[in-house]
Amino acid sequence: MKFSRHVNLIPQAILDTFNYKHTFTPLPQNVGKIYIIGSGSSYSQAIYTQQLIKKYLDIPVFYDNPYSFVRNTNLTEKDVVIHVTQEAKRNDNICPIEYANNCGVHTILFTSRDTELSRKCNEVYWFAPEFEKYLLLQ
Amino acid sequence: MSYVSAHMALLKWVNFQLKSTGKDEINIDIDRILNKVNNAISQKYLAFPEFTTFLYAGWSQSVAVEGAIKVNECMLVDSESYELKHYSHGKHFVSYNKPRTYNVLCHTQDLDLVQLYKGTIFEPHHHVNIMLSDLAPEVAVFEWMTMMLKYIVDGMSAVDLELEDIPVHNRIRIPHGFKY
Repeated sequence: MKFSRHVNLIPQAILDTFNYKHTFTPLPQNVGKIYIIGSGSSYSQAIYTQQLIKKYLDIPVFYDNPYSFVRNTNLTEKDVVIHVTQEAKRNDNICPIEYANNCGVHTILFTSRDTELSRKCNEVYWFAPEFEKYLLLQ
Repeated sequence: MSYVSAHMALLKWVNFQLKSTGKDEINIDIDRILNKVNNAISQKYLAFPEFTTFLYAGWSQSVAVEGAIKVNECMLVDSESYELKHYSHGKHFVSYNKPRTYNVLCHTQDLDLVQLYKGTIFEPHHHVNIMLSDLAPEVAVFEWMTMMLKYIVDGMSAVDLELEDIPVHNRIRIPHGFKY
């Protein structure tokens, strides 16, 4: 699909995601810190989410790139890691989840694809399943 | 168009957390957002094959970062601090006499910043796109994102370039031996 066509589909993507019935789960009690991890476009979504959480939820929140997060962050078991990725299959998608799992940390994945990574996370939420089907038909 | 889908999904998740703790949710006026986004798609931006700078403040930061990915070589400037937050490929910002396109991702409440930069940075030969939103800052990201992406479309059109989807390879190659 041409890039210009993608841009013209923005309203449909917004509407489909808004209308999709996500079954979210409340955050665990006594969350320590929230880390939002993403690379590329997902990094921009991590910045946005950090701004939302900082303003509205009374929880310390940080955003980072996957490898920087894995190499430089000391996690505690009360922390929560949110990873945003469209494809959910690159190494920079796998490494932050495996690192968080090794630290016993609660993990939340936002993605558009059902991959092996989905089974390694405590919670998985889809961007917009109806819209993704539409893209595949193009 | 997963960028905006992800933003909306994450916004809904934050709203759910607010609701589950008895707090007021962020108002998502979907009709107004869609109206603004459709209007942004119909806009035509100044787009030339020249160095691009994204100026942002506060909530538009994430869109400026996404714009940096799209144009490959550009500069990000935090409008409120005069600081260069990030740039790729060199210190172009001081070359004010060169061709430049500035995209100002701005909320109406920050219009004084636009006036500031009109008086201090922009030169008559510069191309300036003011990407202004009056949506609530928490949802203005959808309008800014559409404006920025439409600028990218116009920019590619200006140099007769059209991109199609880039395949993501199934084979994963671990680039280093680091264990996590």
